[in-house]
Amino acid sequence: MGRFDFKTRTGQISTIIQTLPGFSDADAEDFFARVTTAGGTLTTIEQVAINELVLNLKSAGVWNSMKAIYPMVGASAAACAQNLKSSSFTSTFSGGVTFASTGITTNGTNGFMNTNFKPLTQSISQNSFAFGIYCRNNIVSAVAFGATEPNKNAYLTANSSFGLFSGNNDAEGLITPNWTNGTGLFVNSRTLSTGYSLSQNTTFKTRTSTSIGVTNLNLYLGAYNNTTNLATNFSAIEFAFNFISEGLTNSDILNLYSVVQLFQTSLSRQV
Amino acid sequence: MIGYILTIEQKQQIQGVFYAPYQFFNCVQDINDIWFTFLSDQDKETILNTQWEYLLSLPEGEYVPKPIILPNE
Repeated sequence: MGRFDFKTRTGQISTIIQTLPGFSDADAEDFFARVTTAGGTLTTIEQVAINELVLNLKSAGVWNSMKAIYPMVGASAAACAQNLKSSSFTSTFSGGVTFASTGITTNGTNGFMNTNFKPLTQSISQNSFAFGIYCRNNIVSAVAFGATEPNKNAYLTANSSFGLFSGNNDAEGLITPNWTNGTGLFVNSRTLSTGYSLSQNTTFKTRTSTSIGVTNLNLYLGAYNNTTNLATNFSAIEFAFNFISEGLTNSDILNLYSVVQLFQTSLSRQV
Repeated sequence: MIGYILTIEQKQQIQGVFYAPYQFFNCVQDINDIWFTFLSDQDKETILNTQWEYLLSLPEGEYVPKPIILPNE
């Protein structure tokens, strides 16, 4: 096992762990087993990348905050459905989703992923909640992830025809200006009762917003789940990563971006 | 976008039904309230030689989506 250091945008020094084949983290091994049991397969390159991803998330101090991680590897529904963090919240896909080594692509008309994660049921705190997506294509779409209920919104957009609408345990709101494009890692994270951050890679925006309540709708990817448990406002996006977690600080998010970008690079699918 | 046109009965028969362990049908209404479903090429291969193969023979038509509804409008 070799190590090297990297410097984050904020100057913080963190440690990245590079793992040689044959030295697998137990959580990574559990994930490989779940993929195999489901009928999926992973290449050696994907297994090494997943192992490094787990080790680096732990090294960056964000692994324990994670509730669900969908690394979108294996180029099949069986493999992409699996949650890296645990055997819970195995996702399901509607028709119209395409699977490739570069991720999953929703079609913008009826295709979406159901994470089967209900924030309220999972005791998500009203003032500590984050979620994010890694988008590979810059297409003007609708909602990329989440669920919407009055005053209990939990969703984000990337390059949206709505503008930069979002919500995090609150009434949703519009932030201007919108992101200039829709590629990279987008994160919505609340750690305070009074507001939350939105980020694209290493760029942050802040929205002042009082937290009100936590939705108990399943969170969807490629659309959002509305109050009638219906997927609406579909997006045509290739997703290469999705996570749900406790609230992450801006420092956490910068570290997460470094780890996720390294993961995508190791799979030759970074943007 | 071209999709498969469904009768109300066909929509009720397949909506939310799993055609593979991790995949289910999802139907959407167009601007005229006609039901459609869309399948990727991978989906089409998956349902070949299954009870759902008949979907591939349904009439196809141009899907015009309903206007986008802004969040919580």
